[in-house]
Amino acid sequence: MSNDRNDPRLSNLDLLLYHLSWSNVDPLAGKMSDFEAKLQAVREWAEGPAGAEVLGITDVDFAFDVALRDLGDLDQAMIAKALKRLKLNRGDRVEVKVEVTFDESVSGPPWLPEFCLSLLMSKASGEAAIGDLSERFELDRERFGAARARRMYWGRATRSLWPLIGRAAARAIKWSVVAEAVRRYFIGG
Amino acid sequence: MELTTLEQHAMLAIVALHGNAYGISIQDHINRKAGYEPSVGSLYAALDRLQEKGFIRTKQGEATRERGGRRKLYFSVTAPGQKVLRESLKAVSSLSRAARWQEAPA
Repeated sequence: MSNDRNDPRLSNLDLLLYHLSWSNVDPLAGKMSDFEAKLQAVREWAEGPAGAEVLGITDVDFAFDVALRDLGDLDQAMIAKALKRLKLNRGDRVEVKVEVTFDESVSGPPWLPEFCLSLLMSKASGEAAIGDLSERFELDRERFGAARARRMYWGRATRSLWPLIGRAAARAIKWSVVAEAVRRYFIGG
Repeated sequence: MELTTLEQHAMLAIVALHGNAYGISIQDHINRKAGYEPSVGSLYAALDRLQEKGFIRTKQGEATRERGGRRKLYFSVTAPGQKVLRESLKAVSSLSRAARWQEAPA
């Protein structure tokens, strides 16, 4: 367990905060019970895919701001009320303060291979590929347990890196050859 | 236009999966039908190449919890892609027929 936000194991913290960040608010109608349900959904999401344990949403007023891409629209009338009370404007971006800690026994896939893949792939492909690996990880975790699933994840991710490194190197060589040819044509030498 | 074996297998999987072709389903299909599982990296490298050539197109899908909130990328084969795939399969078929003909005298 750790509360240190700089701890590299908190690799999904940014993702969690991203999910909980403010986004174009457009007040409509809604009920208080919806808000409670959304908060519960936040907690479930954080403790599920994000591999975190939510100790508490420290600033409940700001929790109205949750922009849950995957969990549907929030109670917009309540957001409007909260906006008024908090003296905020529509479209303002506010980071939600959430205390999270990671429990190794429920932690998600390792962050390092994800990071390397995201460097070597385009944004859309990278997101999809890492999502595929995460989906496999969840299936493996159910079948074989977290420790083995993590080892299998490492194996899959490492196997995936080589062709991407090869492709990146080939592109770099190709463009350096082109640049050299252009340089020789215009400058000579 | 030539296709690598993995490109050809990926395109065949996309056609066979009828709108449910994303990374994992393509991998599984190739594994079941061709007996090997391409790595995610090599599969996406092949899919990127096919997309650059205009043989496949992508559509972003839903983000699910088990994917850590990341969206799926669904693939479909374009008309030029179908044409290239047919030509490629025709070439393989023609080559394999020739190979059988050569084996016969022995």
